[in-house]
Amino acid sequence: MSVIAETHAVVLTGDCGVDEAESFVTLLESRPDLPVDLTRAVSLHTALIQAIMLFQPTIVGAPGSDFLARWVAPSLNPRAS
Amino acid sequence: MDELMAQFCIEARELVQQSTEDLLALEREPGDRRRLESAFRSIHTLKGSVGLFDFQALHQVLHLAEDLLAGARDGSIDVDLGLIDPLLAVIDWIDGIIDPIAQTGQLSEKQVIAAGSLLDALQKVAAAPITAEPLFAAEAMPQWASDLQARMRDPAPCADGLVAIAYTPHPECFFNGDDPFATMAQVPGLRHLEFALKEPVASRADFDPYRCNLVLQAIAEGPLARIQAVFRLLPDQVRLVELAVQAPIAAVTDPAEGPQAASTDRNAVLMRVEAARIDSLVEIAGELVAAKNGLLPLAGLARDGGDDALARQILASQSEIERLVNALYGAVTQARMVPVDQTFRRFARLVRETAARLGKAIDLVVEGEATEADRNIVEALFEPLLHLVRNAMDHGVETAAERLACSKPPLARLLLRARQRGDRMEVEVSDDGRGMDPIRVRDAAVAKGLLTSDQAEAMTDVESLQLVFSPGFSTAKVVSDLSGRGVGLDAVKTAVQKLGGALELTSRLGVGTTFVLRLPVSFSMSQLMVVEVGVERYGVPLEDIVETHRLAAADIRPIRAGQAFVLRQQTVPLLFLSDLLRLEPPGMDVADLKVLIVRAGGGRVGIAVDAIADRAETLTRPLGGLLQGMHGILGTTLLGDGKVLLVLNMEELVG
Repeated sequence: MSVIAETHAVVLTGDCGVDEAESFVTLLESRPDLPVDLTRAVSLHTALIQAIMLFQPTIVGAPGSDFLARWVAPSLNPRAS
Repeated sequence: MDELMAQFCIEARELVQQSTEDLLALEREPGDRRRLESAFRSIHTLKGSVGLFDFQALHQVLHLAEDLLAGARDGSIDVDLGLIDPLLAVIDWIDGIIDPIAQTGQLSEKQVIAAGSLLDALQKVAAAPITAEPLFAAEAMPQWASDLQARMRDPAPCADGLVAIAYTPHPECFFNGDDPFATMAQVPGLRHLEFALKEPVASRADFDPYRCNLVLQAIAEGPLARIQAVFRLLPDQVRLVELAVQAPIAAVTDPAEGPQAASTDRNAVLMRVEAARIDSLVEIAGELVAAKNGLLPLAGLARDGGDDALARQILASQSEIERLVNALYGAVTQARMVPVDQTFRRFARLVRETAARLGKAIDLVVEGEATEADRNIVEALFEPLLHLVRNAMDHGVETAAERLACSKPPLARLLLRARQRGDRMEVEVSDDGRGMDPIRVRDAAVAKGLLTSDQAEAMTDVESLQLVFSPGFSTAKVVSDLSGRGVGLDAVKTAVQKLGGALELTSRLGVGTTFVLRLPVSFSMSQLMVVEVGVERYGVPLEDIVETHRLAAADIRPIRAGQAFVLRQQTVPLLFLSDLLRLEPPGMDVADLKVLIVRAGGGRVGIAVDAIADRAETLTRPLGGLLQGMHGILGTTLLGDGKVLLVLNMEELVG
């Protein structure tokens, strides 16, 4: 399982596929206080990115894929500097 | 073989080549009207000429192929792989039968049987239901694209143009296994990306994580075909627009348009001339260059005889003749120049087939195909290029899965580029594959006993890479049927050197490998330095000589069995040309020696001669007949006084 709620954050790990979308959205709904930690994520399926766009949690770290880190992650976290 | 048949075979080969190019272009860009027309014309012409002979099977196949292309022209048949693949098979088949026809004048039974299955395949296409419009319709520059361009942070233009992408994934696309961001990640040369929710979501409770509600817009570097390849399976969800650089008008440009159009124009006034006739013209012109030098001594004679007026007249006509002869020589050399395209175009199909066989996705990009060089050089270029291209496809380029794993676009890029650089030409073969690992190269060379591990330790990475050119070197673990044919990169290097060129290699691990061939554009006049040994005179190509040096006999130092001297704090071995040529040794009583410093065997060597006479501009002819292959002799040339001069091959003599 690559989407886990830890005490400090919702942590995404490794290649996160479309099958994680439902549990991820449930976590975002139930724990709006937790930031989402992408430090250990490698790739994110579009469904997960879409969920982040909608729920706008605070994002910690950037995913491992160059493409996501360069082109996607910066737009996901407008509040971070 | 009768003349009609001979003419047919020549024409058929050209038409086969033309239609192959057109079909491959259509495969990349199905909407290319011009290519479709051209393919249709080629097949139509071919069918017409086949009608002159009794090749029924061939005629039937071409007839059906023509019908299909006609259908594609009027829109009743889709231009897609379903059409192009069987047509390419037809062309392949025809390509294979031209030679047998040229030899025997008829089709073999096996070829007639093959025609049957081709006909079946073509009929299947004809019966296929008609579906939609072309895959990607060309659009005029719409507002969204110009807005997007305006928001781009790095508006630097790109040589291949910029393409705006609007990707609206289907709401249910996740269920088809689509991952729009992953698809976007495959776009090569991405310059700008924006994404947003397509429709605002009223309440988070209504949010369905499995419905895609996004719009993605991006700008990427062209050419358009490269982008189309990424979105090939999603034409209904994607709009692609080529961004105009200056005026905001959509320009659906064809990269082949320029040179292609020019060569068609030229075809109209082309005349077929046997190569041998031009060769003899070049030869005569070359001799004229030497013969005109004979006028100079005449002027001297006249002056010595006290007739200054005659001497001046001779000199005046000598310079006039010199001008004309040089112009003539330039013109006939020009007649032998052909565009490298003749060799480059053979790679399109080869790369396509090989890539399919290897299961790799490779995009061949050809640039500078209009660059011209001597016909012999362009033809001789094929073998080394073939080896380098195969090498790149086999060892350089990774599989799509491996590429994705290291965040590279799955479609590998193989670049074949020619450029003119002064009087030389640069041909580049580069891939964006895995690159070469200098450490692995070093280890392999040590394992093969090409050098000791101490020597290997001392090498820089750049030097290590050059080891791949050593005879007997190959890093491939498995000898594949592609490039592992016992022909190593050393053979490629030798072939290039034979053409008077050099081969260079640069590679970055994980980024790719580039081979650069630097070649002369023509075997034109070369500069010689004429040297004397005893009573003999020899020519040495000026390009081999780094410098000339006057060496005091006292400065010669014996080193083991040989001799050497110090030149600018470097020890340079000294050889005597008389020894190398096994002539009488020179008298050792001379106070100083005249030494040519030449490049040989990767270092510098001093060659002592008795005298340095003068320079000559001549056409060196390779040795023929009994003298062929004589060690250390490059060829012969005629001097102005009618004497034959032997031109030395320094590299061979020294090595």
